[in-house]
Amino acid sequence: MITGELSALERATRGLPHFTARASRLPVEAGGLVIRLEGYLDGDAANTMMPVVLSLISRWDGAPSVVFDARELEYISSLGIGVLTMARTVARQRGMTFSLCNPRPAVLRVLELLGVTNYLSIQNQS
Amino acid sequence: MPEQGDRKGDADALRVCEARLRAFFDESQDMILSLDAHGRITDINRAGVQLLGYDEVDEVIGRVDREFWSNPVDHEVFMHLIRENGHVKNFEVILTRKDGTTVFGLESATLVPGADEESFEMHAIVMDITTRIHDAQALWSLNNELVETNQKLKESQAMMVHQEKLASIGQLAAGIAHEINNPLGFLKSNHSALSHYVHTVEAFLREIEGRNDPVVEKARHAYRIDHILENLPSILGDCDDGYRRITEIVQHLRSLSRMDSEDARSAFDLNSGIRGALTVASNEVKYVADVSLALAAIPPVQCVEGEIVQVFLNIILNAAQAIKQQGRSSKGRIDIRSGSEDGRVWVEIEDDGPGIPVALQERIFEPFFTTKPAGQGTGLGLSISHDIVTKRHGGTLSVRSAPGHGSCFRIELPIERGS
Repeated sequence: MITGELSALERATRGLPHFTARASRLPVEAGGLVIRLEGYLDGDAANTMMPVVLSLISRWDGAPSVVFDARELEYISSLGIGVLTMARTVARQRGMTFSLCNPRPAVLRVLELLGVTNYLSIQNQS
Repeated sequence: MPEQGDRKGDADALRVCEARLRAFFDESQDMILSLDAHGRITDINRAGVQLLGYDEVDEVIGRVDREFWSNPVDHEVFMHLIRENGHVKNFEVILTRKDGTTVFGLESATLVPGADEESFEMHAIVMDITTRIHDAQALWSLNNELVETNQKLKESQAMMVHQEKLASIGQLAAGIAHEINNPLGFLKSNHSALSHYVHTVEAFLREIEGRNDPVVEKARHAYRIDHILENLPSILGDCDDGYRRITEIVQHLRSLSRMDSEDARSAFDLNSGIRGALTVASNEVKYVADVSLALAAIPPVQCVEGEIVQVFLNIILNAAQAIKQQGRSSKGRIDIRSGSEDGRVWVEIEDDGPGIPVALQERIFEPFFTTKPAGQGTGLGLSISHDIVTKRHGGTLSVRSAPGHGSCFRIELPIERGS
């Protein structure tokens, strides 16, 4: 997958006032897809990023893993969680692993309240 | 309708308007509330009171609205947005009701400036979307179950196909072994008779040798009988060795075919299984690695012989292929050890190949996971081996690997029948 395709996510979310998403390839051997989320993942942000994220995962040709890095994510709505669950579904359909890394306590609390922590494979790592 | 300039008419119109707004406020199915600059609730309608789980408006008036938010950080985000824009549209909130349960709402709010910067009012409408959220939760959960079930089906199907192939290969091997075994039987029998006849002929020749008959002596030289007699023991010995090796290969091929049946469980010597796997893998291993064995005296293990030999074979072949892929100038090394402790028998197969990157070590037993070039590996060998050892025999299959220095696979099996 070429860099231009990865940067499509940042381009798509650039116009949103409080949210940015960036896609990259993990810079290690057999690196998987990493998607970094920053700011407020509200309904508008979710609707904007959903098609780009699903397209990236559907066409990913690197190592079979996708990691959403949520360390800079401050707020998530149910539509945002919908993007994560859909991304996970598409990833698993392609035999990829899915994980959500380093969510802040406030975001984790919402994930718990919405009962999705058991299958979003939440991990804390550096 | 009141006439223009008629104060009473204006007042009436105002009352009608106020009554209409009041009715809208009171009868709205959505929560409508007003807050002062300190976030205290100054007015709230019946729907709002009910949404929060209270009975009376007075129970809510004067309370700080933040205390109803399940997630305080969400409230900070909301306040940041409304201070920035003067309004917020469709912000998802999670509220805690009087009984501790949560409700989900979609809040739109407007900030109404007061006389100074510090005084303002906020008017908000909160639509109850709890049912919608619960529907979404059910959908996420169903999607998750569906995709996982689908994935398991795919894996099971591929494993079944692979095991079917292995079983077919096993049956083929058993068939070939059977076909070889019959002629091998009479070859060995005839060889034994031939050896006996040769010794008799040899004794006969020794006997006539002493008669010094010039005709016999001439023929003896012409036919190089002394040379033949000298070479016969090593030729017969080589034949013996060849028959022994064919017999071993046939036995190992037959043991590989004994799979897939609970009835096939028997007390099996894992050391013999290792030797069997090495015999079958010999052609793949001998050109790329030297094998050293340090096999301890171990008790027999209750297991399905063919399955365990298959596991050894998979790991030995993987080791040989990993070393081969390095394209090194000298041969690699495969060390195989066995031992027993605490009611379990263990076997370690260690190679000095490229090792496994740390990030991949926990994935190598997953179905379809392979680091081999496309078309050279199904990614099922280790997965099936793991399944055979852990699920079918109650043992463990683990790996330790230092990238650049090789890998060591350890198989542990309970001596008694595994769960």
